[in-house]
Amino acid sequence: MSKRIIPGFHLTLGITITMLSLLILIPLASVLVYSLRIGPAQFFKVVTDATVVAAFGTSIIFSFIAAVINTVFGVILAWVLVRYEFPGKRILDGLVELPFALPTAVAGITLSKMYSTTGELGAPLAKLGIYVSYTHLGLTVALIFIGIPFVVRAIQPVLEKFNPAYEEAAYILGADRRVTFQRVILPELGPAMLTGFGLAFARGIGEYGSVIYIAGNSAKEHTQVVSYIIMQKLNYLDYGSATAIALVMLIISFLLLLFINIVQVYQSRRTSGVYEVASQTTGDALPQPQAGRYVMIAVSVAFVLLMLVMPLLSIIRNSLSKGFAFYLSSLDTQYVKSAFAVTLIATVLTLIVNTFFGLVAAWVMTRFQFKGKQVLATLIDIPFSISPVIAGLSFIMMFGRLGWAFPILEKINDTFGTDIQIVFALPGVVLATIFVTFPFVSREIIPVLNSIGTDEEEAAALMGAKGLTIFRRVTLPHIKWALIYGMILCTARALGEFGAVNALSKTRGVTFTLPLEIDALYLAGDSDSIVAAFAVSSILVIIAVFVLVLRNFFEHSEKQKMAGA
Amino acid sequence: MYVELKNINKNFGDFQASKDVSFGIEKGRLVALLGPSGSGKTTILRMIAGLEKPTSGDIIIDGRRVNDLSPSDRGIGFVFQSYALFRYMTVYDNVAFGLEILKTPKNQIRERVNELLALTDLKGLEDRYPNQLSGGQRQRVAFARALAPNPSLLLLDEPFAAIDAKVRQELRSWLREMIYKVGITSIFVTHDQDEAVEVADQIIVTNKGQIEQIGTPTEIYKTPQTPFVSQFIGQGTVIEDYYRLRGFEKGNYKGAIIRPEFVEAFKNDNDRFADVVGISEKGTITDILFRGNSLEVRLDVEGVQLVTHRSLERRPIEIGEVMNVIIYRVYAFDDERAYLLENEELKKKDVNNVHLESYLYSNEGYFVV
Repeated sequence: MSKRIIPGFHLTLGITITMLSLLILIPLASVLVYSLRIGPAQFFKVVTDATVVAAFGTSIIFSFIAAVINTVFGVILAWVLVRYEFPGKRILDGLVELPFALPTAVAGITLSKMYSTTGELGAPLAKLGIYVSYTHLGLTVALIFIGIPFVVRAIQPVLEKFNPAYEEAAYILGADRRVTFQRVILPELGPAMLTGFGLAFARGIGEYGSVIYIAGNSAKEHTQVVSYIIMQKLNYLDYGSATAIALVMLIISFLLLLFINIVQVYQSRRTSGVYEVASQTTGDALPQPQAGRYVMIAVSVAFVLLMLVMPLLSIIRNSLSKGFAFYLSSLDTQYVKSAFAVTLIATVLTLIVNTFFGLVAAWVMTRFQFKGKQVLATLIDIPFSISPVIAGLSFIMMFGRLGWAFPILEKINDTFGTDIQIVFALPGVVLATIFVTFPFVSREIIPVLNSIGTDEEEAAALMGAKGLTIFRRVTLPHIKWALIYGMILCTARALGEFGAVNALSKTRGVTFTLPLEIDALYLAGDSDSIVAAFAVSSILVIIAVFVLVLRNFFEHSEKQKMAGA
Repeated sequence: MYVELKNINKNFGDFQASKDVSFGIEKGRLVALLGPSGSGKTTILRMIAGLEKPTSGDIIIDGRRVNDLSPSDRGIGFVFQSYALFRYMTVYDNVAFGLEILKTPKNQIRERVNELLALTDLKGLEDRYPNQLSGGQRQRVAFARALAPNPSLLLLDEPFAAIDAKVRQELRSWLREMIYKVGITSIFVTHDQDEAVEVADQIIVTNKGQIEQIGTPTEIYKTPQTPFVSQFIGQGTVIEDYYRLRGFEKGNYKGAIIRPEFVEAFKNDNDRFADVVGISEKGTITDILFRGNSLEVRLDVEGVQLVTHRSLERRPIEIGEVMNVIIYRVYAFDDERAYLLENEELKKKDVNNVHLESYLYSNEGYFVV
C-alpha cells in the first residue's frame, strides 16, 4: 500500500469506528444479546405467533406496494424536475423533500385526520364507499408519503448526469421516444430506481410515527405494523418478545441494505471506466412531444399537491379551527413549554455530535481506501433503514433495568453518589435522537467530497499543510453548503423524532419532546386537545417549511456558483 | 455533389455558430472539418445529421433536401465523440440496435452484425460490455454500430478524441483503410491538423462559424488562402517586419508567417550552399531545443526572431554561433487573404528554376508551388 499523502487516516478512522460503536453498534448488539438469552424455543414461539406473523406480512406487503407506487411516481417526478422547465419548478423540487423535514408523528395525525370520515378527503371518499383511515389503504397512503423523497432523490442525480448523446445515438438509429426510454434510459436508471425502491421499502417496513395513527392497529383487520407490535410489547414490559421481533426486523433491514449496496457495486462495475466526455450537446433537436410533457408535469404537480401539500394545509386549517386565541393558549401550557425545552436540548446536542461525526466519517469514507470500507458504509447507514422503535429499544436493553450496562451505571452512581439515569430520562432521549439522525450530515457531505476529488488536498499536503489546515482552507469551502444543509436536515429530523423517543420517554411534562406532546394531546381524543395537537404541530410544520426554503436557497446558490466555474 | 450545404446559418440564442456556410462534397470522399474549438465544425456535422436544425439554408443529401427529415430517414451513420455506446448492452446488442429498430428479421441481423464484427476485428468480443473494452475497441464498436443499418453517409465527431496518443496513430490509418474498404462517403470533425492531413482527402477549414478554405491536404498546406489558414496550418511564426529580411520588400501587408521549413541556416564553410552564400545574411543562434528527431533552432536575424529545424545528421551548432541564413519564402497577409512571397534575390539567381534543388540540404524543406 502506498503511503497516504492526505493526513488523518488513523485518527479519523478511529473516531468514526469509536462513535459508531458506542452510539449505534453496541446498543444494537444489546438487543441481539437479550434476544438470544430467551432461548430458541421461546424465540421461535414469539416470532411465529399469529399476530406477529400478520404484522410482518402487513408491514412487508404494504411497504412493498407503497415502494412500487413511489418508484413509478418517483421516476416521473425526477424526470419532470430534471428535464422540463416550468414555473414553480423549484417549489415542486423543494416540496418533494417535505416528508424528510416533517416530523413523522405530525404527518401521522394529519393524514389520519384528513382521510377520516370527517376529514377533508376522507368525507367525500367515504360517500363513494372508500374508507382510507384505519384501513390498509390508509397505511399505504402514509407509506407513500414518507417514501417518495427516497426514490426521487436517488434518481434525480443520475438523470442530471445522463449524457444526451445516448439518446441521440438511439434517435439517429431510428428509435422513437418509447423505445429509447425502454432500451436506453431505463437500464441507466435501473440501479438508481432499485436503490430508491430499496430505501423506501426499508424505511416503510420500520416506519412508526406516520403509520400508527392512520393504520388502525387492529389485530383482527391485520392493520398492525411490526413497529407497533414492538411498542406494544414494550408497554407490557415484555422485553423478551420485543427484542425477538426486533431481531427479525433487524435481519430484514440488513438484507435490504446489503441488497442496495450490491446494486450500487454492480452499477459502478458496469459503468466505471467507460470514457465520458463532457457532453457538448443540449439535446434540443430530440423530439419532445408537447402533449407528453404536459401530462408528465400535470401528474407530478397533482401527485405533490394531493400527497404532500394537502396534508400541510390541513394542519394549518385544523390548528386554527377554534380561533387564534385558542391556538395561542394551547401553545402556552406547562407541558408544551417543557416539551419545547427538552426538544431543544436534545436537538442541539444531537446536532453537535452528528455534525462532528459527519465531518470525520465523510473524510474517512472519501479520502482513503481501506479494507472493509463497504462494510463501514453499510453500518453507518443502519439508522436509515431500521425502525426508530428499535433504536429506542436498544437503549432500554443496554441501560434499562435488564440491560447489561445497568449494573455499571449503578456502580458509578454508588461510587460517586450521583443519580445518573439514562432510560426514561433526558440522556436517553438525547441518545435516541442522536441514533436516528446519525448518518444525516455525513450522507450530505460524502457525495460532494467524492465529486471534487482529492487533487487539491494532495497539493496542499505536498506543500506541507497539516490536516486541520487542509480541511479548513481547502475542503471546507467546497462542502460548506452541503454541510449546512446536512445540519439543517439533521435539526429538522431531530426536532421531529418520535418512535425512538417514544420508547424511551414516559413522563409528560418532564421528558416529553414536542412530538410526544402532540401524540399525548391527539390521543386524549377530545376535540379541544386534538386542535391543540395540531397547534403544536404547526410549530414543527413552520420549521419544516423553513428548512425546505433554506435547502432550496442553498442548492440554488451552489448551482449558480458551479455554473460560473 | 453528394452532400451540399447552401447558405446555412445557425444561431444559438445570441451566438451565431454558423455564418452563411456553403460547400459540396462528392460521393466517396473522406472529408475533414478542421478548425479550433468553438469554430462551428461540430455544429455543421450535427446539422447534417439532423441533431440540430439550421436557422436558415438548405442541406441536401443525394439530391434530396433533408432539412425536415429526421436523422433516421437521412441514411446517415453517426459516431459520437464519446462513442455513446449503450453501457447496459453487449457489443452484439449495440451493433444490432439500429437493425432491430428497423424490424430486420433476426437471422439477417445476426448475419449483418457478424459481418461487421468480422470487418472491425471484434470477433469473440460479442458478449462484452463497453466498459470491458479498450478505447480502440470501443471506437470500432461505435463504427460498426453506425454502419449496421447500411448508411450512405458516415459522420464522425472527433473520432480520436477519447483515445490516448499511442493508439490514436494506429487508429487513424485503420479508420482510413476501413472507410475506403466500405466505400462510404464520410465527414469527420477534428481540431488536430495532423489528423486531418493524414486521414482526409479533402479538408474544410472552419473558423468563427465560417468556412475559410476547402481543398486537398496539400493545397491547404501549400497555398493557404486566408490569414487564419496560414497561421492555423503548420508551425509558422507571425512576423510583422518581415521586409527587414534579405530578399523581401515591403508591400501592402499587415505581416507575414514564416514556417520553420522556409528558413535555411548553414555554416560559412558549407559547400552545398556556396552558390547562394552571397545572398544570405547573418543570424545568431539564441536557443537550441532538442525535439527528438531534430533540433529546433532559434535565430536572431536583424532583430527578427526566426525558427528553423535542423537535422541531427548535420554538424553540431551552439548557442551564440553566427550562421548564414536564407529565407526561401513567406506567407504575407492582409486582412482578407494570404499571399505567397518568394525570396526575390533567390529567384533572380535562378531564373529558370533549374538549380533550386541543389541549394537545399534536403528536398523536404523546399517545394515548388
